[in-house]
Amino acid sequence: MTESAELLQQTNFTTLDWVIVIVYPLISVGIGIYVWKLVSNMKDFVTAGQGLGVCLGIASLTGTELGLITVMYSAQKGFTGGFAAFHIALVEGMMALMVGLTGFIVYRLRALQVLTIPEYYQLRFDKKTRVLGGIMMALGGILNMGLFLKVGSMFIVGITGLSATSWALPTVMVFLITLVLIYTCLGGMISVVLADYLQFVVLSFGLLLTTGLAIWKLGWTRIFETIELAMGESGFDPTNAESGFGWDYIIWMGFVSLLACSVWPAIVARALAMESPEAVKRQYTFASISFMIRLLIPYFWGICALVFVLGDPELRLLFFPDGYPAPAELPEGVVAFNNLYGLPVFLGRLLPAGVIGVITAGMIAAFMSTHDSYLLCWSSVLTQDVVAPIYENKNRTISPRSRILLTRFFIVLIGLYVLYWGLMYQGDDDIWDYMAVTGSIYFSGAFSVLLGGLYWKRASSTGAFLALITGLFALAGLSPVQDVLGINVDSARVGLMTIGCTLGAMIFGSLLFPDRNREEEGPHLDESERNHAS
Amino acid sequence: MPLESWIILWKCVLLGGLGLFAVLAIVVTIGGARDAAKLLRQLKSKSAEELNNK
Repeated sequence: MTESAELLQQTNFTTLDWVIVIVYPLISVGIGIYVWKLVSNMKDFVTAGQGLGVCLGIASLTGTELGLITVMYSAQKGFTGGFAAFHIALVEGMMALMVGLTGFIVYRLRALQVLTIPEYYQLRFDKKTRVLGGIMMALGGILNMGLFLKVGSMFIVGITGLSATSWALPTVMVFLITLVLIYTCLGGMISVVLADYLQFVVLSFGLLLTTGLAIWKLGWTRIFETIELAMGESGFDPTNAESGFGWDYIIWMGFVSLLACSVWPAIVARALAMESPEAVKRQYTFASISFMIRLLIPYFWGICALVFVLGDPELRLLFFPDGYPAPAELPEGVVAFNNLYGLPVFLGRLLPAGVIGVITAGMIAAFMSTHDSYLLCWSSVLTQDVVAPIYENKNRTISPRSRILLTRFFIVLIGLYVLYWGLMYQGDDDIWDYMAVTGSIYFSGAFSVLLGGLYWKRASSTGAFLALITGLFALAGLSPVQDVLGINVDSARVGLMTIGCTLGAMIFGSLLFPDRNREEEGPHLDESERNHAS
Repeated sequence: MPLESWIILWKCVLLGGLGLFAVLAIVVTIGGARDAAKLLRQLKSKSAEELNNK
């Protein structure tokens, strides 16, 4: 056995922890089976009958957005960026609070009682905008979740000490995706929100306990001093260009956070499931703390992992074989260990037996809740907003049962894609930036369409259509696409330019091609079409 | 902004965030259990109603 393999197997994970980790996800499957018979129509399946109270709504919103992928990519940012990464958490919390206080976009959407965002596109514009919006949403969203399974599984094999074995990662991936597919297909949104609640309880107390243990083990002062020594000012000041962030990045994060809170479908789905528009505002206002914490704590854990690694000569050599800070390019033949493993390796040694099982189970729950929410979201969009509007007309309709069946089919299909993508993808992109770029394919267009549709009377269907298409410019932020195009532009700058372009497309498209007969026509979604959903 | 100010800022953000989140966790744990029970009650009665109608 190699020296590095022995190092990676040093963990406090015991048989007791394995029992906790295996039993816990089965509870979620049990919930799925329990609520299966309570789901009778698409409204129950997609929005839990629009009956969520504020506390359950907050738990569900937090559960969705506090995924294992969030913990991993945030820890990676903390590991590489130090305390300067905290600005992203602060900005996101402030944006969620702003949405909560003003009800920006989400309040009006909930008041309209739509089940999905593209459904609103048809209500305000026309059917083709709804179908295109659904396609763009599913495209951006499914690409966005492409790495969730792999990165989440990396956490599991890292913390359990299995990362040195080649079979562990694919096995864990297959096991997890199978579990998620079973209980998402069974119970839809009801099982999702109940599992989210369970996750919230386990994980929120687990997060606080682990943070306390990390501070106790490493020392409050030592953590700050080590980062100051290792990174200097750039480890604290995000406006410093050497920190890897800078003003462009901060502004881009402001937009990403605002758009994520107000138009990201997996989040908005929680708003649309609330019992009233007023409850949506309260949900966002209080959940702004969760929005900040979901990033802040993992950043801090990543920082603690770095402090731990730098203080251990063997781990230091494993992660930084050519010294710290790592050079831009390593000498030939020298390979650094993937920094995504920094957090699980640290937690595997920090947490005592029993606690490590609970935390890992909580993380698996986080992993599952993000997956189920996203699977449910994209599959219901494909059913409700792409297939149904194309297929249905005055003579043909899809029954509520068939819609649920079709949604379950898409859930399985997307699950298989995620498994395939996770097994095949070999890129070394920064996970957070990959997600921001793929997400912006959808949300930069959707933001302009929703903003125009909800707040500007002259917004037209042509403007909306052009804005949605323009969102594809965000793809230029991905490094493989830049290589093909022969350009080298910062992804934050590409993202900001894309938002500007979609807003421009919406404004000019609407002014040049107005919907002349809109007022006479009224809403494009007639009552019978809306009733099909429920 | 000098380095010391950044360090103080991030310390305050971290401690303040943890404190607020601890309070939120307790409130949502208790209130969420109540909401979940209410949701299940509603769905059960709706399900029973639909069964009766059939």
